[in-house]
Amino acid sequence: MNKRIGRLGAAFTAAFLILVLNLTYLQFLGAQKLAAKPENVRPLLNERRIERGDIMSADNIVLARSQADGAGYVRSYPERSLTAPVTGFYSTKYGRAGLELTYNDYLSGQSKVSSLDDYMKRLLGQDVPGNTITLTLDMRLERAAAKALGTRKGAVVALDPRTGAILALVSQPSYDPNKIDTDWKALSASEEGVLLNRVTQGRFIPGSSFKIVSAAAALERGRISPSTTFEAPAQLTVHGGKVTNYEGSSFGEVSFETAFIKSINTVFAKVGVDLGGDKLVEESEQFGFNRDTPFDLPTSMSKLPAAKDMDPLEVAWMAVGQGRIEASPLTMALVGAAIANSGEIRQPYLVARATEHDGTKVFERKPRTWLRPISVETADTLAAMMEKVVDEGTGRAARIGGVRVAGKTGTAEVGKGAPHAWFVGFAPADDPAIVVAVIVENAGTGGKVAAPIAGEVMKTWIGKND
Amino acid sequence: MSSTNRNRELLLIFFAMLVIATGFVLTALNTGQPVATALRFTGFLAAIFIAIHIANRLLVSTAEPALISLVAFISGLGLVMIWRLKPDLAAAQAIWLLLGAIALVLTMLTARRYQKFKDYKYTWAIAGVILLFAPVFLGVERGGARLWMDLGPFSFQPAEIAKLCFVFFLASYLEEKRRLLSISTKRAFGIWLPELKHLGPLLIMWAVSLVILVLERDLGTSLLFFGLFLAMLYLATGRPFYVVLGTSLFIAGATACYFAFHHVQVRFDIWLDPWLDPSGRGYQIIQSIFAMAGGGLAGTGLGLGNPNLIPAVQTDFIFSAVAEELGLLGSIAVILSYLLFISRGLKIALTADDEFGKLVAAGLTSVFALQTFVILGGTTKLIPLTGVTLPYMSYGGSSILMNFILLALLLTISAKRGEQGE
Repeated sequence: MNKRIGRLGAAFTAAFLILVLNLTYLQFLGAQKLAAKPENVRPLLNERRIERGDIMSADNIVLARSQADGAGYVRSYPERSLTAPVTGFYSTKYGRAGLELTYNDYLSGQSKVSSLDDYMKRLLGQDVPGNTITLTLDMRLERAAAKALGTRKGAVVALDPRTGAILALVSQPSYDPNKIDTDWKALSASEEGVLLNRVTQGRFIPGSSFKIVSAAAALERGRISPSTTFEAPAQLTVHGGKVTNYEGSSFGEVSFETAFIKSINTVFAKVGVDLGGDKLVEESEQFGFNRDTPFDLPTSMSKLPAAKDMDPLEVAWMAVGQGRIEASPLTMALVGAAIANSGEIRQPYLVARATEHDGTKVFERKPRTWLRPISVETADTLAAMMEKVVDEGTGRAARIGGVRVAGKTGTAEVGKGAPHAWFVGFAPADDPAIVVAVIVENAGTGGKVAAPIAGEVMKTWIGKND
Repeated sequence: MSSTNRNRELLLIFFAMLVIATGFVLTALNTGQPVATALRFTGFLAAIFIAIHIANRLLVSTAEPALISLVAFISGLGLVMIWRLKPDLAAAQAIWLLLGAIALVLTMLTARRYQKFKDYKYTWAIAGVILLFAPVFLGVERGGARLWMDLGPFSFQPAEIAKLCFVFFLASYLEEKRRLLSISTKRAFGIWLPELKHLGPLLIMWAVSLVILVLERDLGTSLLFFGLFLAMLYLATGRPFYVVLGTSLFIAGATACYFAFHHVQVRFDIWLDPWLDPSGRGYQIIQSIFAMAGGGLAGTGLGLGNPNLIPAVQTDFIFSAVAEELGLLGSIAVILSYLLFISRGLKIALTADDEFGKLVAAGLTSVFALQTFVILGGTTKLIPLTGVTLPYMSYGGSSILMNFILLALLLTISAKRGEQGE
């Protein structure tokens, strides 16, 4: 009988070995897959117990922090609605948004553990505080931008064209992330789009600010220079339709540069048709249209229709900046950055570094080039043209005493209501340190409404560095 | 020899209690419960096992030395977890452990001449059947299974005690009939076949198991009894034929039940895919798996997970709580402890001098092993989930009492040989 007892023992051992193998799958190999199941509330419950890291501005102002509250922590946002488009919110009920979403691994301390001390803590089941992330956002500039925009619906974004660092990001109207749990219903039902980050996810017709892209296409891909002359009638017939100038003005014979400075639609329509939809779309894609923009916040793609889906009239209007074009303010700021940074678009970013609670760096951003849409020569030519827009053209309201400013206005017709006012510009024109894109919804012309806001933001930044 | 074994036992109990004391203190610190209570529980538990140790010195001085410490570790960890999961139930569980210890001593006193038990084989059988089916007529239904009887303030699961009765019945019956059952001249296609008349007991046990399945709605108990029967039949006769035939019969019967009875069908379907009804019938098993996944390699730490998300976590699902808070390392440690207990139990069967002792020890160990496997396999979704307790660890009086009696019987059988050897 002893031999059989031995066999029975072997059978039990085999059965228990299978238990161990199955547990190894459940607890180790397949654990992450199970943790990600939507029915699993454990990750959220665990996170509540973790002291999330702070979100700090570049000038060391707290934008988000965790405060102990009974068994867990609550998240607070001292700058409330001003930085909500950047920080997003963190809620155990409604999930996460903004940097709270995209940098969750760092903020919750779930990224790699660097110190032995933290590793021991984790082994003992103690919670390790999350990483602090420090942004490139400058609160002085952020406040100046918000003040300049006021209560109007719109967006302002400022970045350093040499690195891609975002310096200010304002989206209005916004929401108070401290009250997300109580206000959720009203916020999510709002028709104003308060939860929408207009800078990265808003999609607007760019109007004449898009002429920067059309002009780049003409200079790079057409046989056109700033001095090439064109007839500039009040209206131009294309493919059975009409392209008209703003307020129906006629300009006689003008140079391409003058057409840019005065934002003459009929000249750009002709340039667009001569160039063709293919080249216009290709050039736009070099500037970031029809591409996902790599960024620290979720972005919506800025879009153009395919060339084959457009008739010559639509191509003409596209060169002017009207029609089925959708551009986010971030994309337009990057268009400005390409001109300001000698033809190179640096990848935009908000997070400069992440540090552990003891100050150890776990992540540091290194600027890198994203796109290279135009040559240095074209960039320099366009910069000079944009400087004249501010000196003597539609963008005069963006002028700053003692500093050379370059820019392009846009006035986007949107069907009903007043047009969207745009301005894309940079300063100082000879050594650009800041690019600003502004949109004010249904507010009037770019020159009157948007340019002064951009001027105010650039002045604050240049003044600060003095 | 006798004092060596007992000294070893004391040392092993000391190590087990050291681990348990650490567990209690960590739980207190992490959950904010008083450390004083943790120390009181530790002291109470240590007193129980030292008392058992002293009783062993007096009654079964040559008994196997590792079993008590394994039980101290497993039941101690169970008490830590119950205190952590449902603090109000911990005192009751501690009292049950004390009652278990008393039952252990009483059993050792009465079972010294356990060979006499084989004279009452039909008494065991009748007692077993009565205990097994009493709840069908007198019991209350819980969690879809009809297994409990209310006895004043306590409820009682008679099937737990019925297991012991069946082990004794089968051991006595098989010891007597094993030659008859294993001798046959018939062969068909080169395969050994028993005499048809000897297949009677097999068919009766099969029927009993299916009746449990249908009347008590309990696949776990059903599987357990039939598994026990097959294991002992194999040990006694050495004929794999019985195992193959028995297993086929059980699968056939269970399949028939699947199509005939809705509750069996639901259980099986939920096992195949709990995500069919994740917030309803699949909830418990899904939460159990989430708990294990949440524990990861090293666990969340005692008191730092969310095991209370699992319904009935302190009884059938206590292992899931251990896996969450002590991680894969902890859950493997627990599984190895059970495997060690099983290997010691089979060692006792191997070294027992008499066939009846061998059969009883192996039978008891098989019940223990099968029950542990059925519930661990169920909570890890390896096999369909059935409601049986995890020996020594789950909250519940009947289970604790039965397993301490089982422990006493194993110790007594192991001591018998020692005595004769001296």
